[in-house]
Formats: sequence, C-alpha cells, structure tokens
Amino acid sequence: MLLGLSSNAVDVEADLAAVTGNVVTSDVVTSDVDAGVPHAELLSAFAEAAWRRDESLPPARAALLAAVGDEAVVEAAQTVAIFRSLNIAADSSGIPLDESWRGLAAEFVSDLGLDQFPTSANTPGY
Amino acid sequence: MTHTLQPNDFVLEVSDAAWAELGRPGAHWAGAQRVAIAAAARAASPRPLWDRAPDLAELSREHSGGELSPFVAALVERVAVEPSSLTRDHVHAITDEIGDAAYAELASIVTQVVSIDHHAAALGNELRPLPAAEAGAPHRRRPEGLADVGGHIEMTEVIEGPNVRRSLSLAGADHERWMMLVFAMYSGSQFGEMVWTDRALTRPQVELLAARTSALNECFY
Repeated sequence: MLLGLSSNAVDVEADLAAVTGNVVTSDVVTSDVDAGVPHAELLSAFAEAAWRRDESLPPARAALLAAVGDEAVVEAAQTVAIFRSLNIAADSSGIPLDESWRGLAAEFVSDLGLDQFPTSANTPGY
Repeated sequence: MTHTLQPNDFVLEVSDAAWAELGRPGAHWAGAQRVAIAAAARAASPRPLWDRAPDLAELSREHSGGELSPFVAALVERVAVEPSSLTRDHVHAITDEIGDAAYAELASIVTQVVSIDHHAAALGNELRPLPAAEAGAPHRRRPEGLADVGGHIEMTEVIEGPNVRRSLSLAGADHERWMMLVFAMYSGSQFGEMVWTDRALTRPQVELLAARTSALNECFY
C-alpha cells in the first residue's frame, strides 16, 4: 500500500504485482516483475536473498552495491531486517489492518492474492 | 579485499541499547531465560517442506536442564519463522498456559533479535555475541492502558500511528526498545511523508523492499 502511495507521490506508476511476483510457499521464491521503481529487480533480489540468508545473498548484495553504493545497501539491509520483525509483531499479536487503510487495501488484495495469506483472517472483510 | 558495510550510527546505538537489556530480568522472564529465548530465536530458520515443526501441544512443559522447556523453545521457533501460522485460537491456548504478558515479552525479544541479526547478516557482518545473563527476578508489572482491540492479545487502547505501533505493547519496555529499532531502521520521523529526500533510497524503493519481505513472510498486514 505504501509502495503505491509513495510511488504516486513521485509520479511513478509502480507495478504492485512485483510485490508478490511468483511467490510460492516453498523455499523456491522468485520475482520476475519490474516494479517500476529504479533498481527494482536488484532490490527485490536482495530482499529475497536476505530473507533466505543463503549463498544467494553475497552476489545479490554485491550487485546492488555496484548499482546504488554503500549507503543505499545499508538502508536496504535495515529495511528488510526490520520488516521481518514487523511481520512477526503483526502476526504474533494478530493486529487487524488499520481502518484508514482498508478501503485502499480492498482495491488490490484479491488481485495480488494477498487474501490467500493465513493472516488475512485477522482482518475480516478488510 | 573484503568490502565491509557499516551500520549507521543511530541504528548501532539503538541496537546496542536493546541488546544490553536482553540479558537483564524482564517483566516475566528471568535474564537467563531471556538470553535462552534470544538464542532460540537466532537459531530458528525456516524448515524445509519435509521437516514439519512439532505440534506445540505434544511438547513437554518440563525443563530438562535448559532454561526453556521444549514447549517454550518450540514456541520461540514458531514465532520467529512461522508467525503467520499463529491463529487467535493458537495464541489463546498458549497464553492460557504461560500468560499473555509472558507471550508478548517472548515475541518482543524475538522481534529485537531478528531485527538486529538480520541486519548484520544482510550486510555480511558477524552476528554480535549474545549478552551475559544477569541475576534477578522478573518485575511482573503490567503496562497500563491496555484493552482488547481485536487482536490475539491485549494491547494499548489509544495510539497515534499505525496498528503495528501497539502490536506487542503488552511487553512494555521490550516493545518500546523494538519500536526504537523500527524508528531507526525504517521511518524515522517521516512515516507519514510519501517523499523522502534525505536518504540514499527513495520511499518507493524502501517500500518495495518492505512489501517484498512481507510477501515472503506471507504477512497480510
């Protein structure tokens, strides 16, 4: 949602399908969709590699580093790390989606398949 | 030559502060138990499809030499790597046994360890050593202003900002330390601003990373 809002704010048309890409629930996770933001592919590959913390991480980090530099990679690492924990806080506590976001969410939840996530049950009807 | 990426100073400062408290007695867990929870969170990683996590109901509640019972150790793993599988009924069964505040504190320790460890790992840096446990009894104080607002556990009734701000507020100081990590690592004071101009990444780039990570975690929120 914030991807869409922040992209609109800078007149970029983000492809929100890049968020879910070809996500599957096994350990094979890929995204081959260009999100419409600069270096989207490299950022997405870094997020996936950091999530898996496997041998794909050093090359993904090196590729992103070459494209955006040290400071941006540090910010990217902060973001993926803190969002992993934000997801834990949200799901372990069962917080529902914020009232002010429900209308916006309804526009793309089913399109992106987010209603298939088990925790969508925490926000009945969103 | 290896290229070393350094965390920014504010993130380092906030991480140091959170880490120092992990070994001290909390509201419901002793220092040694908190360090054991941190160690279990660090050790947790997604299991391959053929290796299912044990059913929490079948695990022993008895300690067998360690600081955590097999049940609590498995709960830490579940919170750390499969939080999206925790339904309201699951959480209520857990809190009926260990108490809602002990559950919130456990989950809040996990959020702090995961933030700090994953940040180091994403940068290719060594994980910091776990803190030493300090002696002392848990203080057993419960934060004020909590209510059932529709989540799995009670949380702060009145807040400013998004719901995640109050998610594990039942954990009191641990939750506040984690919120400082959120402030330092993500939004700073600019959560409500859709254009960030003083950073290396633009807001849409940050939100792409955030959304992709959340999708991988199958987090609807």
